Amino acid sequence: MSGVLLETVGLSRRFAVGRRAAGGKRASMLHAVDDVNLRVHAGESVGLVGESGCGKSTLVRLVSRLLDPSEGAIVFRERDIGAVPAAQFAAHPERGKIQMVFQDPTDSLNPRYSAADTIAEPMRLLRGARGDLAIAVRALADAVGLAPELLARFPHQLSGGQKARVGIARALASEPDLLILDEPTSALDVSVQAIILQLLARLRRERGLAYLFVSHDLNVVRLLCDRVVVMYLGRVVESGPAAEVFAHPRHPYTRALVSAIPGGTANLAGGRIRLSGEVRSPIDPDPAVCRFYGRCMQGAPRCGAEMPLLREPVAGHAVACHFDR
Amino acid sequence: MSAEIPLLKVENFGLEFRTRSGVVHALEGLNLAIRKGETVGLVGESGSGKSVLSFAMLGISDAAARVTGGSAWFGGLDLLKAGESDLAEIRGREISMIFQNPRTALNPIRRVGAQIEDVLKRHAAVRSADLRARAVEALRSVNIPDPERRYAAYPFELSGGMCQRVMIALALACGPALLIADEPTTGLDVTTQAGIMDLIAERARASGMATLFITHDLALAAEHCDRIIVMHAGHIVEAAPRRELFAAPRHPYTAQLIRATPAAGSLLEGLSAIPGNLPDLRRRDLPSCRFRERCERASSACDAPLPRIDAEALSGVACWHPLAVVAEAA
Repeated sequence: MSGVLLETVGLSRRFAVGRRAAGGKRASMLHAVDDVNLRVHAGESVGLVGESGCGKSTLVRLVSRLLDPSEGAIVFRERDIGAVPAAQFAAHPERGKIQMVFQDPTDSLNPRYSAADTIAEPMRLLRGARGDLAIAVRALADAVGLAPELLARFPHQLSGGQKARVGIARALASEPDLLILDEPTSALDVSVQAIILQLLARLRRERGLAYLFVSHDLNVVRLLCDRVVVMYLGRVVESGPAAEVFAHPRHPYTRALVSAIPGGTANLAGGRIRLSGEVRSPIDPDPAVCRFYGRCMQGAPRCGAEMPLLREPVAGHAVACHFDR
Repeated sequence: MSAEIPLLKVENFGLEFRTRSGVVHALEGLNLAIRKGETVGLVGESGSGKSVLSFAMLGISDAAARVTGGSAWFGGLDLLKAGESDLAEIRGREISMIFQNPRTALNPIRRVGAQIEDVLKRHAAVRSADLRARAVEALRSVNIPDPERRYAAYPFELSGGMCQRVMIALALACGPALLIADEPTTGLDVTTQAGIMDLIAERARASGMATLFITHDLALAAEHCDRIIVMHAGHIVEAAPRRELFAAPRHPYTAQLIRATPAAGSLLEGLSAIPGNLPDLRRRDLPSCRFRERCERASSACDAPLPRIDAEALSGVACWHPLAVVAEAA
């Protein structure tokens, strides 16, 4: 694998919630992302999975610099972009190199922009493009398999699959190195989903793009990603090669997650794992308690007294659990 | 099994919507039956008419809907012709429904316990002194931790999975004979999804309740249903017991749907999309087979009226060129 494209070091984001306690000095803090070290190599596809509320979206918003981190660094193409305030990042030279494809192809398109305008906008803003704009838009539409006669249409005149293609073309318009895909196919029917996934795989191959792919459809992640990062309540609990993590999940949460994939239970030893108990609160969590403690089927007193750190028992496959041998 | 009288038997059911842009021929010639204790999956793309069908069964269709024919026998009552007061007696007591989005289906400004009490007051002979205890019991039965406290919670104070459990508690409060679950786990995490599906199955087993499970997720239907009915553009195109359907799909649409669904062992190259879109159901010249324009096996024989699947048949296919009974290598 070639060089590191994106690296986060000890990245954390906390949000103040609620009122200050009477006489208290500070507000409660919700730890959305807690000490995350993430690495994406050039041309690599990394899947980010975890349940809603685990901090996937916050992490993505930090990396795409829509949010400012509380702590930690974000290094992109060997430049620390974490220190640039989010409000100023729009004008930053690296801005065009990180692009997003959003979950809902309808809500994320401007209803008053034609497909061509939508695709041309990033070129106007970020590349300072001139007269060749129409040609460039055509070329991009062609690359994502959008028929040229559709370019004059507005979002309401396009089907879900066509809108998804417009969203992808828009993201590619500024020639990014990293594409952040936030559940790009969850709003699509299976009949269309397959083509969009294949399109994404082809674009990555052809353009050498790196993907950070957020999804909770694990079957889709498995198809599209080289590596998977599993998050639980703001922390990375496991990361490793996708095939390896799905075949031999090591963290108890990942095991439960993999066993819950519809149609996938049969080949996993031990059958389905049911999680009981409640998710711990992300507000002012005890730094000495494993975040999964209470829901974990292996939980022991040690888990309530010492936070397990991410270790790498096998090269490239990291797990944060006391019980992992 | 076929000698048994089905719990719900729908025959030749058709429904259309009158809209400003024309008449939408939403459902046509539907035949299906659900037996006691059975879990039937209703799968298809969005727009195939799955939810329209279930709403019609409960008499809660949109005002623009008009039943064009057919019958839906539930016990001794034809649901399509029943009056509002009969339907009101049945809804929530005999047939109940879990809606897609629990956050919008629950009343946002009433405590969840009170919402369960409403159902009990209306449909079950429960003394008002016992209401609270019964509501708490209902919450406990769907594995809501600390039900005493959650009784007084508003929907916004609960997570999505928790709201869905409240919906299930509401739907099951009166022990219905038939539960219609319309995409009950869309938008939930896989771990939560597994828990919700297990819960529905568990309750169905315990009380002999039949379940009509509506989903677009073929993998999920495969895991939880005894029998699967596939819909396309307002037609039932195939019905079969689960194993049969996946081992040897007979309708070309079912086969393509299975090939398009990412499963545990599939490769990206192996996935194939279904060409084309659902036909515009407002068209006057809708072909007799609504899949015809997307189908690779279509021929002039397809102009003839479609063969219908008998309501009580365990399996059947509505196609003139079905795939062979034995699974093909493709």
